[in-house]
Amino acid sequence: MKTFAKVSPILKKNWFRIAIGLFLIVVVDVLQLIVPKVMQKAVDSLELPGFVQSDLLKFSLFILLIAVLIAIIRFFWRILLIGNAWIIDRDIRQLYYDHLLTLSRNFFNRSKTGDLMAYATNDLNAVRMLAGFGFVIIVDVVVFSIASMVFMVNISLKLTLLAIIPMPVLTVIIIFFGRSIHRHFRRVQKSFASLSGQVQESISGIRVVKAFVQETAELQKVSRSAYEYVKENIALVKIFGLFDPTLFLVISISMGIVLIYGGTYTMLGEITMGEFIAFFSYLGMFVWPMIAIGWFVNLYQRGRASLLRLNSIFAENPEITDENPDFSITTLTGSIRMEELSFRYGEKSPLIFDNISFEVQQGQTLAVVGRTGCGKTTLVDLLTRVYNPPHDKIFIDDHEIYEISLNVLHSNLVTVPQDIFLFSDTVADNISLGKPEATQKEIETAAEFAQVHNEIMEFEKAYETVIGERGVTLSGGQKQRLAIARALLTDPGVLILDDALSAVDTKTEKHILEHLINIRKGKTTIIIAHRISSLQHADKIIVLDNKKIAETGTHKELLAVSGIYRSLYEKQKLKEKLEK
Amino acid sequence: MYGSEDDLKAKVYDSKLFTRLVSYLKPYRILVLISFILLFLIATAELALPYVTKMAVDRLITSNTNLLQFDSRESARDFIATYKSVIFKEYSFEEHCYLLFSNNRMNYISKLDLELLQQENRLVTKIVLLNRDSSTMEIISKIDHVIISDNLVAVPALQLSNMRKEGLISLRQLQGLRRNDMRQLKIYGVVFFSIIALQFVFTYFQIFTINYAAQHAMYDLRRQLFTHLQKMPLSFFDRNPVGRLVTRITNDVGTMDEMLSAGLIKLIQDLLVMLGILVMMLVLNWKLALVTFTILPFLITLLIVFKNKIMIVYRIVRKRLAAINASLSEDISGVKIIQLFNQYLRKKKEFAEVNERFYKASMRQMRIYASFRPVIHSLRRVAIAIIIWFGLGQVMNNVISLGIFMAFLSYMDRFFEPIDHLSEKFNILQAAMAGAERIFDLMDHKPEDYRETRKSGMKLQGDIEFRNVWLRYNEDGDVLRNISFRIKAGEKVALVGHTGSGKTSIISLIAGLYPYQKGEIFIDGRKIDDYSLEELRDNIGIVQQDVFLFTGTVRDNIVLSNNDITREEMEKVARYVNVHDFIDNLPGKYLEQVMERGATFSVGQRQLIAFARVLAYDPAIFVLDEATSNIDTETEILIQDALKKLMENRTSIIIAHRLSTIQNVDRIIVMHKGEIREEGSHQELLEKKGLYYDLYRLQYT
Repeated sequence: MKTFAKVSPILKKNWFRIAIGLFLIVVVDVLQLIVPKVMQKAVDSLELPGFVQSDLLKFSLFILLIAVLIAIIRFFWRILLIGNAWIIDRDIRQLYYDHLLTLSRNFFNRSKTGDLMAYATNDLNAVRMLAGFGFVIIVDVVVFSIASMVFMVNISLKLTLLAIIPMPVLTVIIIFFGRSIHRHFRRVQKSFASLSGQVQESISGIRVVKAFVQETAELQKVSRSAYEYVKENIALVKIFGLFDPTLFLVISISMGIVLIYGGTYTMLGEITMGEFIAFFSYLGMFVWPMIAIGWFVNLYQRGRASLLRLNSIFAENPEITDENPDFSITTLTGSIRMEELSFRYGEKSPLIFDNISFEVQQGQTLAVVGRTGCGKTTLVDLLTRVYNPPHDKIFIDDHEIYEISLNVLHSNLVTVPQDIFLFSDTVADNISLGKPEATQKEIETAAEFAQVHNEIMEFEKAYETVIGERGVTLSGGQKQRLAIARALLTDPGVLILDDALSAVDTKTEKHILEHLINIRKGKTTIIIAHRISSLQHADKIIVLDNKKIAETGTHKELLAVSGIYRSLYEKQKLKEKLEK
Repeated sequence: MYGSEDDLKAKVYDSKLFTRLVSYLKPYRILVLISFILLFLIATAELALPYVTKMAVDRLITSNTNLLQFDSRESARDFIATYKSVIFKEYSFEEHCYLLFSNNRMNYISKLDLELLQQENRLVTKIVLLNRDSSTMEIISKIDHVIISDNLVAVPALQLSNMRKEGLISLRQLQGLRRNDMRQLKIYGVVFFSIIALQFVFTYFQIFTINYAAQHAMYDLRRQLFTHLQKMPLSFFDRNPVGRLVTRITNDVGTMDEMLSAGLIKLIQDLLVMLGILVMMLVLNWKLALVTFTILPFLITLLIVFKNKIMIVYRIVRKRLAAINASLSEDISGVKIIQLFNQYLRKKKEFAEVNERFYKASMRQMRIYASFRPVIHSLRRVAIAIIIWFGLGQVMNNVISLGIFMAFLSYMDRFFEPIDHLSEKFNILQAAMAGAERIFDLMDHKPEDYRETRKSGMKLQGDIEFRNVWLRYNEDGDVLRNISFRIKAGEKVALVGHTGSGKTSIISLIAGLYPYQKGEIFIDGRKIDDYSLEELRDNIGIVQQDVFLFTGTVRDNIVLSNNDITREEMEKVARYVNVHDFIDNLPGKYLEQVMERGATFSVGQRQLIAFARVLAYDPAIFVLDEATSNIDTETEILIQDALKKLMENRTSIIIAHRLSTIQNVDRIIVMHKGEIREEGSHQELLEKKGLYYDLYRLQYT
């Protein structure tokens, strides 16, 4: 992907606005360049015979007019160009967000949320600065350096040559210092990171520190890091502290040269007093681009680096996409078949499933049991294509899973996941997530089935109560039941409960399960549970163990054999007893 | 919890916080003082440069001198006596006397006198002085000239330059004539260059000294803050996420360093220079200064209105940015649900709204900038217009010199320079104030009492007794209820129970990590509160379930800060707990670096290292929270063997997860929901067929 691939379409779309903005900058620059010329004329006219004081007013009013024009035009180019940068900021953020939502679980597993957020704020900020002020600086640099040079040469070529002798030093200094400062800056950042790490470790280990009375030892470690940081900072200041004074020194040397030689020329009548004064102004304008180039390089480097980071996200392909599905399939009745499926997350990862097969008929309830880490959730993730399963292994309603469009698949296979996620939104909005058009009545019915309606009514604003940081905090059980209500509301062909009742007490669980049997009549339900009590009613139970289906049957059948299921059941009984 | 991250303090300046902050600079006051003196010198230099230019222009570059002729010394003296406020320079040649004075003092001389002088041709305005040698005299013979002393001759500047313009003399000749002035101008150049050289040196040392002081002050603050933090009770760490505490010590302290070294000092420097400029202008010409100052009320009003407007919008922008961050964070966490529920389009639309709101606020902020900044910027040109109209008028009327006019232009340029960066500096100050508030808020939290004065250098026997102890961490209810037991010195006891039954809490209480609400704990017959915390903990060796290893070498992790332990002793200890062979096989042996808190070692290996750590300290009480996870058989055998050795001749309390462990202890305490339910030996408890019997079947088979 080209570095500016995401920016250039927006630039192209707004080209007219940018062109006008750039034109206005040129106008402002020209106006600015006129001012010293007016000053020069005013000063020189003092010598003219017949010149009266009221004539000065004309010069003054002219400068006043320029000042007003500059202010007005500056307002407009800022609106046009900086505004354009904000448009870029907004549009790319939206593109970025839209793109993120299409990415797969795999991507989010290996990315840090903090980084993904920083891209949308800090990095976009750098891009915006480049898109906004980058343009301005380029135009400024070109116009000012050329025009002020022309004006200076016009006054005196010799003086111009003398005055700009120190200028190349300026560029060399910016480049040389720039590199050295950058190097030191990186070292400062590194030592800051290690200070951060040290503090982090010391605080994380505070229990051990206290238990082993290591406070002093830890303080010494932190102090050492903190002092390293101080040392690096001072080393940076030693170089960085030279930067500004040196720039100022070089500029002042130029000014001093103009004072001596320009002064001499004025004295000898080579140039007029007005020209002498104007020359100082033009020299000031000539210096600015020299410094601005340094800024631009900095802006460009940061903006480019940020764009590259953003591009690396844009380059991520959404793994989970429709692969030429059959759009004539619009609903699923919910018979599921898995045939000799083997699965691993990555090529080098260990096998999760080794040749497993099972079948669920429409209307049946399937229960999946097994130890922690045996792959129960993975099984569900494959059915709902959170991860892509191998081809020709999973069939729903006799359609190969890839023939079904994701939209249809997700509308018909609805999960209540293990890690419940609720949005900081109202209770009602959270329940109606999958069916935004649902009526209040429907929402309440779903909540009643999920045994959470009464608790919701106790909230201050009932269904309009906001959940999360800015609202009420829900217990684990309440969250699970809300998620169940959310899934039930969509009334899907296949409902999957992934350990969705773990935080619900046994009595409530019983009520929910009883309701489920009623509501789900004729529809397929898959229940994953640790608690055997949740799955006694299942039509079929499969026990996963060591990558394979170890046992299959009904509750009764499985209890009859002395296997994993029975041992799980017995332990559960003990646990229940202990919990009483 | 205290102080949330996004707290945006409106205050730019808070005197209490500020005083407290500045107090950290006290040890470096000499450096700070030097820095401030340098600041004054720099400001002076900045003000001096335009003045040097002014002098060069007035004395040499333009002709600003008038000449009066008198026939006798007496009449000249009379004239001087009449005009005391004009500075005259007196020359005499033959019987004539000549007075030189500055053109801007023309108006001090009465019109009557001036007319008389002009009628008698005794006044020559705008002259230049040349060396009176033969070649000079020959060239200037064609124009007016007055010999004013043995070696000086005065000519009207205009006539001299006209000669050059008409080509009557060459450039070289003119240079020859004015060699005196040219030499003098070079002297001004030297002065100018000396000032900028000094300014360079001053600025560099000023930056260096203030940064040196600020960095060290921040180092002290970091140390103090960290020391304070370490002494906070554990319950404080339970309530505050590690990340937030790290931020206090790193970033928040950082904002203050930035304020001291960049924001504040620069602000003071700018204010000094701006004030100096106003003073200089008044001194140079108070009339022109006052006329120029008419822009100040506009400038100040604009700045105040701007600041007020931008503050309001700034807060809105921050809020909406926070909303973007909140959406992003939430939707990234909930992306699975969004995808599974087909909510892609809806969430996209929702985000577009949040994004648009931020965009609108930013545009509003941008429009305020676009409206005010160019206007404020243009005020500089208004000032130039005023200076041209009024200033040049004054020049025409011979009231001020061109040099003063130029100086005014330079000063105005310099005056407006800091105004562009004003808001930047206020942001730095604001951030620092918010940081300071968070830091001092933390500093004001009361630390745990370490009871340092109770130190007695004792060695514990290891007799532990709980009498009716109750414990709760927060409002959620009691974690331990009415716990009473006694463990005699040298006894080996296992704690068993379900998750959340209170086993770990008992260990924490013995180590004095949490305060308890009711009851008494005795160690060796003395109340636990009577021991110095440091000494108490020195006598207790704890191995946690998930062993925490520090960054550093394996050796560091065994001996910790006790550098008295020799290498032989350390190896002996390591051999004793069966970890020597493992360490010896590492590439760096005992000096192998521990990475990522020991993540490269297995749970079992880490536990063995922790065993060595405990043995090296040889505490009277040994506490172990056994790992729940599976450990490979080989390591397990080593651990069990080491454990047996460790428990010898030591009071040992073990939260047991292994069958072999519970079989090896003298007594088992069975906990349930914060209470002690059963107590006894393994066999006794099994025979009872009670809670322990069930637990045993659930966990240990």
